[in-house]
This record gives sequence, structure tokens and C-alpha cells, in this order.
Amino acid sequence: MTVAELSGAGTASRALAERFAGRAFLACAIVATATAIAVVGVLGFETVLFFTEVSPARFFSEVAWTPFSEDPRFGVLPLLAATAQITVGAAVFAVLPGVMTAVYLQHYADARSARVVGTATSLLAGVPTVVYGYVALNFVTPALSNLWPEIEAFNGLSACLVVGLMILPTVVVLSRDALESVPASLMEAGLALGATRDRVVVRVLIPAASRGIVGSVVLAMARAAGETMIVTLAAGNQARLTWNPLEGLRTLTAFIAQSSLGDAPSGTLNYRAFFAVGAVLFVVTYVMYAVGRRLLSRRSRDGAR
Amino acid sequence: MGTLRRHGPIGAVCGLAAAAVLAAFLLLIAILLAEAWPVLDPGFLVDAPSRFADRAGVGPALAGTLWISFLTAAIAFPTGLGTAVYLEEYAPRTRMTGAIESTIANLAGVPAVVYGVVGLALFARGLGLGASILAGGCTLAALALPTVIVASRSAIRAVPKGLRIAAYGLGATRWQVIRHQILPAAAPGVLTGCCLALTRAMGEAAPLLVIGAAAFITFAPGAPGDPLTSLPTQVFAWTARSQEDFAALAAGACVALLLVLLAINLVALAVRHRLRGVKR
Amino acid sequence: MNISASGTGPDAAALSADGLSVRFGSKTALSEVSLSIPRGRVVSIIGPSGCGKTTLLRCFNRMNELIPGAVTTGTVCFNGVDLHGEGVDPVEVRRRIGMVFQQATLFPKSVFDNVAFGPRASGYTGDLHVLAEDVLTAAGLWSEVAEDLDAPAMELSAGQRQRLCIARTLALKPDILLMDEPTSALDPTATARIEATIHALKSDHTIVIATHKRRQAARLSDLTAYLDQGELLEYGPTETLFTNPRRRRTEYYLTGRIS
Repeated sequence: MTVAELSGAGTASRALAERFAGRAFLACAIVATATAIAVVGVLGFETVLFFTEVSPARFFSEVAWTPFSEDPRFGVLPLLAATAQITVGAAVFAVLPGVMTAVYLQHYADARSARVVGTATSLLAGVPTVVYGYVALNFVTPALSNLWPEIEAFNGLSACLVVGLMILPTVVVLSRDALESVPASLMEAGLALGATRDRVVVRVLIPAASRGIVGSVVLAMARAAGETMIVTLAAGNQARLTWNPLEGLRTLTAFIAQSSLGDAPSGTLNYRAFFAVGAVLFVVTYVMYAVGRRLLSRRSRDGAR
Repeated sequence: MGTLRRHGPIGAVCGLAAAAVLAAFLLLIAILLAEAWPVLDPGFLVDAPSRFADRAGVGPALAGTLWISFLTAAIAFPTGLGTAVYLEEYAPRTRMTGAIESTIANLAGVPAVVYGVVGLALFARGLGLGASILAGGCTLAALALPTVIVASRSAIRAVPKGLRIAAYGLGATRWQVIRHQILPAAAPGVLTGCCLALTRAMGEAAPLLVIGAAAFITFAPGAPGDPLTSLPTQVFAWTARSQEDFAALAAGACVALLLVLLAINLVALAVRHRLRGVKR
Repeated sequence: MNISASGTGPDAAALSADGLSVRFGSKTALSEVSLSIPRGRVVSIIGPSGCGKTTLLRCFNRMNELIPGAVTTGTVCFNGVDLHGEGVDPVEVRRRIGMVFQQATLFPKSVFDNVAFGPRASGYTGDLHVLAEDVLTAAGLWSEVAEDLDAPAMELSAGQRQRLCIARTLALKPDILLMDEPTSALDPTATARIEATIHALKSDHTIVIATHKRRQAARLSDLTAYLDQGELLEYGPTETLFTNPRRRRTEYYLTGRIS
């Protein structure tokens, strides 16, 4: 026998297909990586140019965001604060119901109710955010004005409530995954020791899944921070520092969505402001998302599945 | 209170939370349908937007959404699946690959509006596509890409190791293993991920607004170079005009959008069913 | 065929390993194994679980390199040709040296497609149906599946599946058959059928079987190798090794004191 017989020669067309396939997959990976680099690069590039005109110190310390006035100010704090308020506010409304629903689905529900609620949850997750925005502006705000007549037409409370509803499915689905990764034998062990189901759930199963549940909340909050259409439609576009949930405010995302509309001329300071704000948003959500993913993945790796 | 007796108070409260989620969903659908009812007629799906609410329709927006989703799918699906195959079957396990993988995965969490800003700079301005359907499709493809990659990778990784080993053991080349064993076995999972990524991208209004989607387009786009319009941006435009009549139109556009998304999901479900059936 | 220095006599080596070591990361799976497998014989590789049987088998058709982190040193020759030599295509190697795995993983397709997969992959130009009948007969499965070759392979019993795996491998017309624990997942009846199949294949194949069933090795093989913690402790005619082991570890293993 010779090497030639084992060289796979005489199958030139197959070797060609093999090379072509390898190259094609590599090309896809290059395109995807290039896209990732382009996203980061474009944001970074324009942001750096922005910072040559507006110092980062001013950007992060001034409390006025008035890019279109005669004496433009670029203090990102009001936008950042608004994003933080909406994010935390949405979490306040979403976390408890979300986690409780997950607990119900995982530990209490019979198969049929689990299917019904599960389907509703995934359908809710599929509703585009602009639809939520429509509901926030046309239904939630009017309803809230019955309770608080002084509420503004654009206000933070309505946005928080509806963003909370939007992130609810994320909390439910991911928390349920976390609960699922806790060995089922723990429940049996607890019940066998004479504990009630409630007690096992609260004392054993939820704590065992706590890391993943926290991860699901962080991921949901990352989504809330990046949410655009609900806050644009319901919270308004006044960049101001306020703690009154009945007043309007403007988040990082709302600024980008509302002020751009595609016609800011390239290369102007205003144009670059979008990228600077976009970069802040990118960093905030990227970090939150990475942290959330980490919390979730550790959980599922440790869990005995 | 059967639940209380069976499960105790915690279970009952959690059950109430679940019921509230269900109620919120039903309420949402009821509100949309009730509001949209007056405008929903066959003409609504083909008519163009108009200054006169009673004559307006979502024709161009619907066509725009279908065009954009076609472009998004055409760009993001092959690229994403190809990348997933490369990362799982070809790439050496180095730190570099790991960094690329986790960056791509984290990009799935970057807000859509950020992709809009990038799309504005890259596609609308950089490539000179302007506020066109094509620019929108490219932007949403970039948005959908990480999700497609992540889902395809996990579908490929879920293919039983034995299949791969058996095929290699029978003297199949790498491409033959991928083509005949891995891709068919991963297809249902890949399809689910692609469907999720696509429907999510189709529902996005923010990136298209940033690129410069027009709110008032009176003819249906017929080519990728035509002005950008879509159902989500149409919903936004009508909602932002806070007049009664337009609120109903916005609800109508919402319902149209949800129906399109539902249709895509149902088609994907049927295809997945067939794939599973064939495999047995 | 170019005849190499190793000769072609009845006991010429079909496969030979020299100083063969395999590491997975920092873990050594096989260290300095040297042995030669004569053409036309059945060779068993026995030893406690985790001793490196599977790893050794996978060296013979370059399957180990599909495992990330696997490092192989030393040489493996097939009819005198270095398998790791320049210009040797692992795909071609696997077509010539067929392997049956411990887990009978069938492709989720029909019986026929499973048999046809290998020949199709290597561009077989003959009649696939004739080939399928041949190899299914050789594997002792023909009478059970002849009725419906298009039935899904997944519907077969565990024993039938493993015989289909053997048929699937035979369809490559390999020079050598590697079998990794071919009966470990089977009940005694199915095991007996597989062993009968192996017996039938003996006449015109070189077969290497890794097994943890001592008596199976005794029943089937001409030569037996005893592996322990990655080292080849003993290798010789089956009868000698079983009746008169030279090493104490071998004796312990054969008498069940280590397993």
C-alpha cells in the first residue's frame, strides 16, 4: 500500500466541494464578525469625534440636554436618569408578578393551566413594543388620569407600567428556566420530611434558583433600558431631572428615536450626539446583558440536569 | 378555594399572579380589537395612508414590512446559520474564537435603536442607500444576526454526538457530515430561532425611525430602493398624531402587524412539524 | 498494489502501532503502546473500563483527532503506510478502516439510507441495492429487513440496530473492521447474534474488537491485548493470555479482582 492510495486523490470534485463549503462558512463568520466590529466601531468612532467637541466631563456632569437650542448643552445625566428610572420602575412592576408566575408554572400549575399561561406569556413576548406604546398612550395614561387628574399627557408612570408588562415574559420564562434547573428530587425530599409544598418552595427551591432568578431580572432590566417605542410614545421628550412619576421625561432611547428621524446632517455635532448617546446606551445594556447571561449560565451549569 | 387547600397560600398568590398575566394579555388583545374594529375592512389592508382618517389604510406599510422581512431573512438567515456552522464545526477552540462567540452573543442584547444609529451611519449614509427599504432590511438583518447565530449554534450543539461520530466513522467528509447529518438534525431548532429573530426584527419600529422611515407613503414599495415604510413605523406615526380617528387607525395597524407575525409563526410551526414528521 | 517492506505473508501486519501515546489535555489516555495486528486475524483489546481501549481503537482510523484537545504521538501504520504521514487523508483512512461504535447511533432515516450513507459519501458507482443486500446478509440482518428497506431505522430493536451499524460499515468494503464494545448495550440473545456475525466475518476481514467482556474476547479472538491505565501490559495468542498470563495485573483482571 502507498500513501497515494490513502490521499483521497481521484475525488477532486469532492475535495473542491469540501474547500468551497469551508470557505463559504468562513466567509459567513467573517461577515458576522465584521458586523459586530462595525457596530462597535461606528459607535466608537462618532463618539470619539463628539468628545473632541464636547468634553466627556461636561457630557457626564452637566444637567441640561438641549442639543437644539442656540446655546446647546450636552449633559447626558437627565437622559441617563430617566433611563434608570424607567428601568427600575418597570422592574418594580414586573419582578414580583413575573417571578410568582414562574413559581406557579413550575411548582403549582397542572399541565393544562401551565400550557394556557405559558402560551399567553410567549404571545405577550411576541408583541412588538410599538403596540405596547400605543396601549400606554391611549389606554394606560387615560386610566391613570382618573386616579391622578394632575398627571401629564406624557409621564413616567405609564411608561414604567407598560415597560414592566413588556419585560414580564422575559422574567417569567427565564426565572422558570432557573427554577427548572433545580433538581426535582429536592421537592420530593422536602415533602418526605413533612414540609408543606409552600414551605419547600419558599425555603428550598426558590433560594436554590435565586442566582438564575436574579439573572433573569437583570436581563429583563437590560431590555427595559433599551426599550424605545413605549417611552417615546408614553414618557414624552422633555429632557429633565425629575422624580415625579406623573411628569414626562426623556430617556436615552427616546432621544435617539425622536430627534433623529433620519434627517440630521452627517458630521454635525447633533448627528454625533446620537452616537454618543447610543454608545452610552450600548455600554449600559451590554454590561447588564453580559452580567445577566453569566448569572443564568452558571446556574444551569451547576444545576443537575 | 381549591387551590388554597391543595397548595397553601403561597401557591394561591402565585396562581393569582399567573391569572393576572393571562388577564393582561387578554385585555391587550381585547383593547386592540375593540379599537380597531371600525377601521378593519378588506380595504384597510390595501389602501394608502391619507390625511383623511376614514380613507386611510396600511397597504404601503404592509408591503414595506413584507419587503423588509424578506430582505432581513435573505441576509441574516444564511449568514447567521453559516456563522454558527463555522463556529461549531470548523473554528479551532481558541481564546479568539471564544471572544468572538461571546461578543456575538452579547450583541443579541444590544437595543434595537442602537442598531438604527449604526444602520443610519453604515447603510443609509455610508453606502448611500438613504431611507430605503434596502437600508431598513440591512439594518434589521444586522439586528437579527446575533439571535440567528445564537439559536443556530445551540441547535447544532444539541445534535447527538453519536450522529457526527458515526458519519465521520463511515468516511464522510466534514461537508458531507454537515450537509447530510448535522443540518437536517438541527433544522427544527434553527427554524425556531430564525423565526424568533425575524418576527422580533419585523416588530421593531425604532431602528427604522432612526434611519428615516416615512410616515406618509401613498404607494406600495415595489423595489428595495423605494422609500422606507413599515407597519411598526406606521403604528408609531398614527399613534403620535393624537387624534381620535388616527388612534383607531393605529389600532388597526397593530392588529395587521400582529396578524402578519402570527401568520409567520404558524407557517414556521407547520414546517417544523413536517421536519419532525419526516425524521421520525 | 505496491507491496511494502512489511510483507504480505499470512501474518503480515495490517495495522501496527509504535510508541503510540494519546493525551487529552493534561490527561494521558494511552502511553507508549506498540503492537501489530496481523492481517486476517481477530484481535481483542481487553482491560478495565477507562484503560484506553476505545482510544487505541480510534487511533487506528484517526477518529481521535475529532476530539478537541487530543494530542497523538508515535506512529500508526496501515499496511506499512504511516497514517499520520503527509498526504494521508483521514477521510480515506476511515473508508478503508471501518468502525462500529459502542452506541448504535443510526441516522434518522430508512434502513436503506443508513447502509447507503457511506458508499454515497465516497462516490460508490455500483448498484446500491445489490450492495445493501450483500452487507445486510453478511451482518445477518437481511432476512429481518428485506421486506421493507424503506422503514425508518429507528424502529429496529437494539440488537438489529447494532447489526445495521455493522452492515453500514461493511458497505464501505473496509480492509479492517474496528469494533468498539459492539455488544455492551445488548441482551445475551442479541449479543449471541452479533458474535455469530463476527464469526462469519472472520474469514475475510481483519477485525479489532475492544471489549470489557472477557469471555467474549476468549470466544472470538485469535490474539488478545491487555491494556491497563493506558499501557499495553500483555499481548499474545488468546489462549496463552487467558490460561497463562505473564503479568499479575492481567491475572487479576481475568479473575475479576479488578474490573
